[in-house]
Amino acid sequence: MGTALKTWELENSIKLVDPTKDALYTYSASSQKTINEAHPWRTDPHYFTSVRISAVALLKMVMHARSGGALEVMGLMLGKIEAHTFVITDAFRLPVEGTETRVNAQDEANEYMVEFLSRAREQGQCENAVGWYHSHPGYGCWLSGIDVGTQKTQQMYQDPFVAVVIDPDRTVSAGKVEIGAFRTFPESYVQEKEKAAGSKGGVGEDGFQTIPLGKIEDFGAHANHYYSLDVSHYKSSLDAKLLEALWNKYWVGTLSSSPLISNREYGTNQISDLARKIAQENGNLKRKGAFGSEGKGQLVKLGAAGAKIAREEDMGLLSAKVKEQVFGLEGQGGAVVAPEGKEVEMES
Amino acid sequence: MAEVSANPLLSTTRASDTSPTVQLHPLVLLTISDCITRHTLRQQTGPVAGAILGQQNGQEITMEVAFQAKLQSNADGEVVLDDEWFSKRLEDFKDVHKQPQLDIVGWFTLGAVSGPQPHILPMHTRISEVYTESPLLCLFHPSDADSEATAAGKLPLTLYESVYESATGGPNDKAMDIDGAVQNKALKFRELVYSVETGEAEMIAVDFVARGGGNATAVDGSTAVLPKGELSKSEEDKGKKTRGKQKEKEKREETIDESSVLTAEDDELLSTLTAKMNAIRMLSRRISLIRAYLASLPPSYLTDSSLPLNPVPSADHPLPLNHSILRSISAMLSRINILAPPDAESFTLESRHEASDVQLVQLLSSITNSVSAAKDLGRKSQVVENSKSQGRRNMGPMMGGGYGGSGSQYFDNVLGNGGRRGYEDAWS
Repeated sequence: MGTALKTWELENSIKLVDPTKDALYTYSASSQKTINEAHPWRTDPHYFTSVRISAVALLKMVMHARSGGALEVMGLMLGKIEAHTFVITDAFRLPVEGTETRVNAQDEANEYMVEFLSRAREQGQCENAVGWYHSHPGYGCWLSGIDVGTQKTQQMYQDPFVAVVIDPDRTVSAGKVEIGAFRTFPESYVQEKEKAAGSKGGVGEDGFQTIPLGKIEDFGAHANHYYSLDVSHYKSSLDAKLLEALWNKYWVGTLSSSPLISNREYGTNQISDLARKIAQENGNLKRKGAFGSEGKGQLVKLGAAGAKIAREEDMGLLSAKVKEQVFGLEGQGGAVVAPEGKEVEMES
Repeated sequence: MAEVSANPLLSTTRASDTSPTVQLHPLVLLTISDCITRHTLRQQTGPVAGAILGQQNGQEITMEVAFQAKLQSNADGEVVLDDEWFSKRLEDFKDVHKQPQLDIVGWFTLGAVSGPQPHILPMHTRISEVYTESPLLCLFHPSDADSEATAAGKLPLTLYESVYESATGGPNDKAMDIDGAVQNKALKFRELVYSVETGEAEMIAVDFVARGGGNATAVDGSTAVLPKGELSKSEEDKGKKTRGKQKEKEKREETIDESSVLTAEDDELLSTLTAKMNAIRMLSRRISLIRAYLASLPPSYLTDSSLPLNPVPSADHPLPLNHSILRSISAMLSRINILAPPDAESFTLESRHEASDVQLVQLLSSITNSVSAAKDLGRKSQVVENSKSQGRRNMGPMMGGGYGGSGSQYFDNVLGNGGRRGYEDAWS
């Protein structure tokens, strides 16, 4: 009875956790307070450079984004600051939808947010809210005009705050999580930059974005108001052990998935969007003359977009070919094996 | 099972047809693990417990989301839920999980493998009184998490459903309940079988997190490096998927150089291939397991009628004959024939179509890139020509004229309209 109670109260489970490797799970209210009081980010707009997201938070956000379907969803993230990094330990949903079309979406959720946070604190989860996330189903990870406005307000009143965007459609089609983290610049900084550089829309500071035609104006107009941060994730030692165990359950899915078929619609949309952009670019060139300087970067970007689409299709084909080889479906004498992994699992 | 008699709370009956089938989602598992890690590292006191939400369709129950609950001790010194807190939190979660609507289906806490102990009863009864009629209890075994079994695939948790059995005997006891009398039915827990289900996005996210290899070491002043290149090393792991942290850390140093060389696209390709390869490896391991099992069985009487009908295990064939396993194996083998598509020809045709579609897309992309490259070439040639013609102007009109004549022909071929205009500009 004594040992059972001890198990319940986790007294003997120190070996489950490794203090060095799981250091991000600790929380020190005093050090957070010190950092907040020093607020070095007020003087340096580029202070924060990266974001680390815990496994739980990432999973919750991706599933929330996916569950919204074609509607944008949003939520809040809890965590702490460590040097130049946002450490996001948890995330929770907010009961608002369609956030791209309404400016005041976040206000509706205010009451929910406040109550949720105070309850979390009562329970012992005393992290602060350090950011918000929302989804862009199918149109990439960047900040729209409304998002930029929201984030600027947040950074004025709730700094330190970070904006995270997830694209659930591209996640599923590419087979990897499509996520981006951003911080906006204060107005004064933006104006300085514009004077210095001579404003150019559509700056892609890092990485490359294929933005659908309908959204590209929004993207271009605000692209130099924010910068993106590196995103990485982390998991605890216990998480790692559990995930190893989980892999044994869903390797079947990995082998049997058919990305070509499941992502057909997405791929088609991408191609037609690229076609429209090329047609538009063509029109531009005819009007401005063959060597207008603005067309310079555009064509290269379109080429890169085409390459990306081709790559995704290629990977889908790869899965199909692998299946054919392993399971000998074309009757070419491949190993005659049964992909009935589930039966095997019950016995082993 | 000897444990059953030792733990009075465990039911002696086995899961029946009326027992629910449970589908567990990985998020629940990771939430529990997150709670544990935080609880330990932040040195919080008290037990860890929380609610599990999911959907309930008749006998099919899914467990999709979980949250940790605030506990308090009541007047009797027992640990119970803080009701007000709990009901509000539950409302919060129900608010945001509307499609599909989730509701509380059970709760989790930590426990030993031997089963639930009496100290969890107050919470369990409270939940069953207020929130849901027969909550499922999910017991997580922290002592097991480190074991070999977990590495091999058995999750360190057990699910129980609650049944009411009369205290005196088993469910076959025909004692009648007298109205108004105190129920002498005791609460017992019966172990449930569960399966792990994932949605598509969930699988990708879990996969991503599992392979990313980012462990949670504290961030120092410099930005933390996430070695993607480590994936290339993981192929060398012999057979087992031992992504142990020690190996990771050692390889981290070696692979940092590699990751600077690999581009993002190569990375993607590499990780997809690695995943596929691991899956295939797993498949082959399972198959060889079956073959090894079959090989280790004593020879069957079907081959040689002189052999006994029920052979006993001997030194060469140590395993006893298990008919149910053999039945499943034979069922599996007979299913192979069904797998091949009935119309092999059109299937092949269809897959060839798909392959050629993909090749078309590749062609499209390379054409686009060629066009952009050609345009770039044109632009650069124009710049070169401009600077040349400027130089020529300085050299004098005679020579410039001679050059201009032949030059314009050559450049027209390369540059088309732009060249001509540039030439005109030079002379304006």
